Amino acid sequence: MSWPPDLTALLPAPRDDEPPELRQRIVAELRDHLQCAFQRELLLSGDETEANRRVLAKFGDPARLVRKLWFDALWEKIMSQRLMLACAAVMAAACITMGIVTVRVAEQSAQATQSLAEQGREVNAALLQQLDRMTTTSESDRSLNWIRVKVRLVQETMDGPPAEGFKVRIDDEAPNHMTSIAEKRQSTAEPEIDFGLLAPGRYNLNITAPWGDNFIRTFYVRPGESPLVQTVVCPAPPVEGDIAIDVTWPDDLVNKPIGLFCFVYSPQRDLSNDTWHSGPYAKSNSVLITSSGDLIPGGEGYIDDSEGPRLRVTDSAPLPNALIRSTGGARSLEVAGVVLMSQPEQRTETNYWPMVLLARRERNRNRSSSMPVTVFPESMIVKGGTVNHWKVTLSDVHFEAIRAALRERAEEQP
Amino acid sequence: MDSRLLWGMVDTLILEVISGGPTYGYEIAQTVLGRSRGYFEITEGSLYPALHRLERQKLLAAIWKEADGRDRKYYKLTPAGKTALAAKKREWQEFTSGVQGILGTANCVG
Repeated sequence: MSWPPDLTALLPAPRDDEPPELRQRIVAELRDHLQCAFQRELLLSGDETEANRRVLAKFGDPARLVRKLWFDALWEKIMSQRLMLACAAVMAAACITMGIVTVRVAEQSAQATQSLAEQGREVNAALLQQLDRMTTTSESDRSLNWIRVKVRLVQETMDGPPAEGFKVRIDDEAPNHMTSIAEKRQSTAEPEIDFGLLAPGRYNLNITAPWGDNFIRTFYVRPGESPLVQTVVCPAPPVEGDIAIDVTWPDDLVNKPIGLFCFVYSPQRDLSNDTWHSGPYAKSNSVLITSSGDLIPGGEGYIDDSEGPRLRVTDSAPLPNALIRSTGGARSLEVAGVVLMSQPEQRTETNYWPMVLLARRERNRNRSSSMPVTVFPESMIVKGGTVNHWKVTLSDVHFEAIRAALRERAEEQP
Repeated sequence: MDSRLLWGMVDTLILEVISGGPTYGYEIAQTVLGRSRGYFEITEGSLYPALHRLERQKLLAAIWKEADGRDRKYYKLTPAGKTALAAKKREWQEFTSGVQGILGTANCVG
């Protein structure tokens, strides 16, 4: 048997962090000890086998001792490594735990978020439903209290065709008597104009024709009358026509420089119990009808002047063919008086005041006449594209008044 | 003897033996055995772990020398080892003085 035994084989496997001379020095120290012990026992016994037995008996298990010394030398490193491993394991476990906790928290957060979102959706849905109910309620309330108002425009008669191009406006007459909102529409080929729902109250319906005639009607919107249809008979579009005025003078007055001071104006027109007023495009025409049969147009005429009827003549030239060109429709001829004509060269920009007043319109627009003049026809409808003949008939009373006025003027002349 | 009595004295005995000069493990064991007249026998299983522990505690320093044709590890006291030995001797003297005081009084009474 070999002596001393191979102690290196009894050590554990080398470690990476083991000092390179550690196991060599452990083995060398113990080998020296065994050698010393063997030499001593050999001297005592004289037998190598007995010496070996005694040394090993006293030494004990060499493997156990050599391992203990090796382990004690590396104890700090081994324990440090184990501690690091334990820490790493703990850290890994902590990380895994944190990860699991994070995942769980994220899942719970997602669930909470989803729950909140679902609650939000439910709340929104409830709000929308409530809003729908409120809207429905409002509509029903409006339907109960507000009235749908339509305006139907027809031409000339109730059965006439739709009146197109008329401007229609509804003014809300507020309780404080101030006109507030105005709904504006323009009529088309459709017979009715829908103004939607209007609150009960008093309204003014204003309609203006394309040529300026206008119309106003007040109506009330009352609950329970839906739909309320306001039908308005509108005038037909006007056309121009000619007017010839015939005046019969007695022989003694034919050659006198006198003329009839007349106004051709557009009176208000009643259509199906509604009154239409002339617009700015249907100006009154003033005219001077001379005793010789000429028609001299007037520029501006004032039948209600404070000083009496007055005619300002701006064009001395008589109208061709003694015809008055006028827009169509209803017209009236008013004979205001008889004027004494000036010389032709003096007519430009001349103001005439009747020497015989036949009719007078006061500021309150009430017409008064001490000597009424018969005009035919009474209903003067100017028809377009033709000559409309009007006839003015003066009575003897008129002629006597004219003669008296002429005599009076003649006496005033020097 | 009771090995438990020797257990607490191994370091002191080793330091004391080495305080006489650099020596090695087998010689330390034989010196302890000889000086105690065969009363204290430190086994190798106790001796070398104690030597290595004292070396790691910087109370001993190791020196490798060639002897009898092989490497041998010698131990010597460091300054810290000398201080530690002095302290352990003082503690032992106080301990034995106390024990002797008790045991001596008991003998007188008996």
